[in-house]
Amino acid sequence: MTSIDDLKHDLKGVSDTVLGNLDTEERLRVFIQEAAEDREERIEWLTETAPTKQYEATDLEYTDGIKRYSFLSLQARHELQTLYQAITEREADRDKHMALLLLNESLSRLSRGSFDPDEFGNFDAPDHEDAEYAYGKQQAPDIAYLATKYRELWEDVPAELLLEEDDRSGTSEQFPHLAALGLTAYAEDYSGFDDLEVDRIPSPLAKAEMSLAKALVEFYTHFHGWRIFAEEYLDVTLDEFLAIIRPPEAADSPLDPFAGPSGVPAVDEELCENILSLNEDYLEAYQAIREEYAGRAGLERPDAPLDLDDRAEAFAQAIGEAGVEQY
Amino acid sequence: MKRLTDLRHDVKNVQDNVLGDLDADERVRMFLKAAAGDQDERIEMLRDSAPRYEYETRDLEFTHGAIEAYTLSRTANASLERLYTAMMMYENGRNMHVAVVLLNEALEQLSQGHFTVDEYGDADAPASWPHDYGPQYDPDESRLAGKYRELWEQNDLELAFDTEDRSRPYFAELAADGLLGYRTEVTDNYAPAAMARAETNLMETVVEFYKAFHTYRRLAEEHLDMTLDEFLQASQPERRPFDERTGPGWLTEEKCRDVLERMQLYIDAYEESQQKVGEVLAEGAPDAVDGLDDDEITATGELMQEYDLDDMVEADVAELAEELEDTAGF
Repeated sequence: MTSIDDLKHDLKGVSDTVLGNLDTEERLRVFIQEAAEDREERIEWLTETAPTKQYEATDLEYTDGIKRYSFLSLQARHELQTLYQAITEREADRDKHMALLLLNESLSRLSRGSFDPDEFGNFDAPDHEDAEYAYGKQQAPDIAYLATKYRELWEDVPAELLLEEDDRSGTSEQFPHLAALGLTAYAEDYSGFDDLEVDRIPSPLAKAEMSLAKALVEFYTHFHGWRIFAEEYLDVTLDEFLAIIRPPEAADSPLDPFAGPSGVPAVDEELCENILSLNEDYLEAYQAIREEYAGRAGLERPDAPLDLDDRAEAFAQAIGEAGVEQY
Repeated sequence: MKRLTDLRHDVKNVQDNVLGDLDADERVRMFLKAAAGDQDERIEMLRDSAPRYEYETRDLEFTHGAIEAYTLSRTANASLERLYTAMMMYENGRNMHVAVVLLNEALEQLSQGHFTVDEYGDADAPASWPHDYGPQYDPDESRLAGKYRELWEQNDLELAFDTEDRSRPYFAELAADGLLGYRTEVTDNYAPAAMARAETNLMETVVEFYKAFHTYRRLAEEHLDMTLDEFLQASQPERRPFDERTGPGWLTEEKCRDVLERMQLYIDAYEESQQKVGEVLAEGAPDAVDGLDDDEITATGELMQEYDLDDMVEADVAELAEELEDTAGF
C-alpha cells in the first residue's frame, strides 16, 4: 500500500512540474481530453496547477451566476426539445407497425388464404425458383414476396413519394425495407428454448409502445422538474427561464442552437402541457404495464418507482443543489 | 427638454443606488428576468452597477475557458442529438404514411371498389360499414376506422396498451392520419400531404445534420486538435448498462456517419434541387417580378448552380473558429 502511495506521490511531483508549465490554451486542450476520458483526478490536478493571478473584476459571484444559469437554460431547452421529438417519433413508430400489420391482414384476405402469416409473422413463401419477383434473389424469399405485393398495391395508390423514380415499379429500396419491418412487427417465438420461462418476446410494436410510455415518463419528470426549478428556485416562469439566452443575433450564427429541425415547433410550457395531456392515458397506464411486464418475464415486481410528481420534485431539487458542478 | 433630461438623470441616480445595493443572488435573479424580456439596457445597468472586487484566484482564462469548452461540447451533443431524433421522427412518419396508404389501397381492392380514396385523401366508404366512432368524426373516417379495428381483431397480436376503451379512438386517429398522407398536388385549395411534408422535412433535417456533424468534426480536428469523439465525450454523461435514457445519447462519429450514408439519397436530392433553382435564377428575374435587382438574382443563381454542402460547412467552420479565437484562453 505504501509503495502505491509513494508512486502516486512521485507521479504527482512530476505532473505538478509539467502541468505547472502549461499555458492556458494547452491546459484547456488537455482539460477537454481528460474530460472525455472522465479522469476527474487529472482534471483536479489541472485546476490545482493553474497559476494564480491577481484581478480586479466585476463581482465574480454575479458573472459566474449568469454563466451557470445560461448553461442550465440551454440544457433544459435541449433536453425538452429532444424528448418532445422522441415522443413524436415513437408515436409514428407505433402507427407504422400497426399499419403494416393491418396491411398484412388485408393482403391475407385478398389472397384468399395463399398468404397467411401466423402470429410470429412466418408464412410459406413460394420459392424463388418458381416465382419471378421484382426484388430477385438478393432478398429473402418471404421479404421479396411481400415487397412485391406492397409494390403492386403502390402502383395504384394516388399518392407520391418525394424521391420516387418516374417508373413507380422502380422504387426498389423502400418496399423490401417496409416488408422486412412488416414481418418483424410480430412477436418472436422462443418456444423452442426449453430453459426459458417465456415462450415469446414482445413484438416490436409492443416495444415501441413501451418506449413511447418511457419517453413520456421522462418528459413528464423533466418538464415538471425544470418548471419547478424555474418557479421555486429562481422565481421566474419556465418560459422565461428557457428564453434567457436567446440572443437576438442567434439566427445569424452558424449552427444556431435554437433553430429547431425543420417543421418542429420550439418547446415552451404550453406545448409541453399539450403533448402530456394528449398522452395522459399512457402515463396513467405506465405503472400497471411495468408490473405486468415484470410478471410476464418471471421477475419479481419492479421496484415501486416514486410517484411521477415526486420524481419531478426530486429532479428540480437535484438541479437546485448541484448547480453545474459537472464543470 | 431640460426638465426631461433632469428627470432621466434623477431616475438613473435612484436606479444606481438601488441596483448598487443588490447582492449577487438578487442581481442574478434580476438578470434572468431582464434577459427573458430581451431588456438589453437593463442587463447593461445590472452589469455596470455590480460591485468590483480585487481577487487573487486561479487563472480566470482557464476557468472560464473550461466552462466555454464544456458548454461548446454540450451544445454540439445537444444539436446533433436533436437533429438525429428529428431524422428518426420524420423517417418513421414517412413510413407510417406509406403503410397506411398501402393499407387503404388493399381495403379498396378487398371492397371491390365500394371503398375508394381519391388523390386528395377523400375517402368514400360504403354505408354498410358501421359508423360507430361518434359524431365528432367524419362518417367516412369513422367507417374506415371501424374497418381497421375489425382487421385488428382478426390478428393474434396485441398492443401493449390495448384496452376496450382505448382501441376505439386510436383507430379513428390512425384513419384520419392516414388520409392526410395523400394530396400530393400543391394547389390553392390543398396543402401538401403529410407524407410529402414528412419527406421534405426529413430531407432538410438530414442536410442540417450533415452540416452540423461535419462542422463540429472539423472544428474538433482542425482547431482543437482532437477527434470528434473526444470532443463529444467531454460532456457526455457516463453510460450505465441498461440505461433507460430515451434520447439517442452518446452519439459517436461512426453512428453519425452510418445514418448519413443511409440518407445519402436525400443529401443528393437537396443539392440537386438547390442547383436547379440556381439554373432558373441565373437566367434573371422572371418578367412578372418587379422591383428586384436582376444582376443580383443572376449572381445568386450562378452561385447556387454550384451548390455544394461542403462549401457551407467550410464557411461555418471558419466562423466558429473565429468565435473560438475570441474566447478567453483559446
